Amino acid sequence: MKEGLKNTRANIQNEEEGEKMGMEKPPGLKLVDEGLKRIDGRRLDELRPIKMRVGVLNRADGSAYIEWGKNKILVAVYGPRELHPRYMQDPTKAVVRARYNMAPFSTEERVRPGPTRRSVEISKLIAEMFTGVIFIEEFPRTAIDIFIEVLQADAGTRTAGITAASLALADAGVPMRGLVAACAAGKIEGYIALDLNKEEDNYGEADMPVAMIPKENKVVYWQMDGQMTEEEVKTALNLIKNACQKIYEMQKEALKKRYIDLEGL
Amino acid sequence: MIIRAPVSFNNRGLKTRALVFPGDLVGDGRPMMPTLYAYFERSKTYSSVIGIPQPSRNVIPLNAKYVPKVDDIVIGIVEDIQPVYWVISLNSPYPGILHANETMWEVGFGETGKYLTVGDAVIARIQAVDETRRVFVTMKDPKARKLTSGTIFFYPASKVARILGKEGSMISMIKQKTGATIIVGQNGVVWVRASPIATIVIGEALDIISRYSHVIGLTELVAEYIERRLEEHKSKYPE
Repeated sequence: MKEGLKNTRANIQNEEEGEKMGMEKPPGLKLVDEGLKRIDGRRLDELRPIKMRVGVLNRADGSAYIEWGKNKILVAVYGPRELHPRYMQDPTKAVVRARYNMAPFSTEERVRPGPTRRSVEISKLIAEMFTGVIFIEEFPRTAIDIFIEVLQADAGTRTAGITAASLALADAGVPMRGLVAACAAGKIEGYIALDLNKEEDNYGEADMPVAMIPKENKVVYWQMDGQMTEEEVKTALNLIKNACQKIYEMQKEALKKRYIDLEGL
Repeated sequence: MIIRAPVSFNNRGLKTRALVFPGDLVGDGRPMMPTLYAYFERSKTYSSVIGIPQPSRNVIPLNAKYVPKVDDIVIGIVEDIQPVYWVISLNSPYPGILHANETMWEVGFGETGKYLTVGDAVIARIQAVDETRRVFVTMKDPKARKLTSGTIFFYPASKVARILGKEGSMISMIKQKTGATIIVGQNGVVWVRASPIATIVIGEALDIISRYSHVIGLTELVAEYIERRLEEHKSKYPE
């Protein structure tokens, strides 16, 4: 009996280990070639093509849609609005709630609908991050709800989701310190590379998503999976900082398209 | 009843006012008035929303929820009935409490439902707002009354100034062109009483004002639009 338990535990641990390491890399797959080009033809410090649109949903107070490489993400923001149940209300500030959710059809293998360990964690972190960016004291006893729906996933959905969520919040007229841009960097076959795609994420050594307020050069969100040395983390962070400035420009461009060129109005 | 009118409006070649986005610099020094929509840091003022920057270092937001302010005249919808008060929805994150004593009627205990029921609309005045934004409204005001006819439209409260126009130019133009009675609540709720066709046209015009509030020369555009639509309706349904 005891041995049986031990076995199961060992099995579970092995499974978790397996998940962390990703799948076995197919033999012969090279993520970075001799010319330092990656499998999708990008340089190491290059972003995937990004497209953003603001105000795509009529029912929501604010909304945004982002296509980031093969990622497709829709974000809706509601609020500030009355918070129910009443006991959740905070008499001094607004409560920011976020839901990061992957559609069942978003990946190659069907995702079981409903919250998972991963999506609960990401939702919590995104909510806490925006709590620090939004002026929550201005709206006591209310809720600000952010819904991030991943329609198609190809690594880097949380950074793309955060980027779109900050656009949707701006569209909803929620007062905040500034726009938030997010991007990931990681380590693949010993090289530090920006904005990993699915293959690089699965077979690479490390992944580090970071969100920042590019205007103030302030980091507001930082996670890491895998292992990197201090030097490597610094290099990766520098890549991310530059990329976030670029993403910030794209965000402003998307807002301009909506409000100054009156596109989609 | 809410009408969402399908609006066809040519927006090509329209010029807009300069805009700022969250985090953009508005000017040196503090805003002249305390505001939710800009923040002061390291001797400079930055915008916290998408909006039109003002010389006073304030920002007029394009989209904002109504924050109740004392003495505002608002239009609300009864949300709930209690023995001695009603809960009034104010198109805002904060509902208002209307106490039975704050009306022009003599309401007995438990008789609130005889005077106002869920779904009724009233014009009321914000009587008090406390520090956690609990709101009390009163109908003891010459402008306050129960609304029994007409149509109600909802817009973000930040659009009220544009719907009224400079010294009421926009709203008086609409009234004059359509012969309607219109009351605009400070909370972005607009009450319209007019012929059915005029009501539809006014709804469309208000939609345009709300969506294109930062366009230069909007009053003329809306005037043109109303005239065109009324003409179209007239030729479609001759008397």
